[in-house]
Amino acid sequence: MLNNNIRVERAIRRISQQELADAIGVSRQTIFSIENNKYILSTELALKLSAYFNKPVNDLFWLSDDL
Amino acid sequence: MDLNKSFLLPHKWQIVGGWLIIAAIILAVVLIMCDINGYNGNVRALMAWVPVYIGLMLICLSKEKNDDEYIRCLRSRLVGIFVAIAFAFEILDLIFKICFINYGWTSFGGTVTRIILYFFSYPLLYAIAYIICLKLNLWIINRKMKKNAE
Repeated sequence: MLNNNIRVERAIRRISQQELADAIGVSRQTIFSIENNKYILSTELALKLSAYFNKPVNDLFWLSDDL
Repeated sequence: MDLNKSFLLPHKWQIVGGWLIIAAIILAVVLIMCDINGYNGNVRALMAWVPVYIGLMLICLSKEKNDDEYIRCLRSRLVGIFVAIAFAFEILDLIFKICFINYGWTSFGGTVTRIILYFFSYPLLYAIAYIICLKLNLWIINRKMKKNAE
């Protein structure tokens, strides 16, 4: 399973889901689904989020041990 | 095949499709009420169905307002589900027909089963179900987001 800390990073920067969605050019539904592990995002979107938060992709997303 | 390119129409065509369906319903009512001479029932029915089909096609083949990869994923999943359901009913329909030919009508559920199978082999039903499911999924996620924000 793919885990992420987008919600945490968002809270640190004090930005809403809508603001993040607008910044990277996706819908709010996408951000909500990613944060709740309902959707596995594309590499392109992962790189966009990485660039936005200025952090490596590995710090934002990781695979859980139950593989 | 370049999968990055989308063949879907812009969102405004979805609105055009919606209006076309409304116009078709009004046209159908007018044609039935007026009972224009020289037209038989089938022609009237066909005249009303053409814009309905075009309207549904436009709604099915146009993008959502905020169309992105999540909605594309949702759309492809729903298409997959409905293709599977359509095949399942087609197979059931074939089995029913084979049984009917070999063993007779009433042995395998009779008229009701036949009507149900005919109904589920109607492509328009899948187009409507696809649109409803897509809109319902988006509505559910919007409601969850609202609840989450409260």
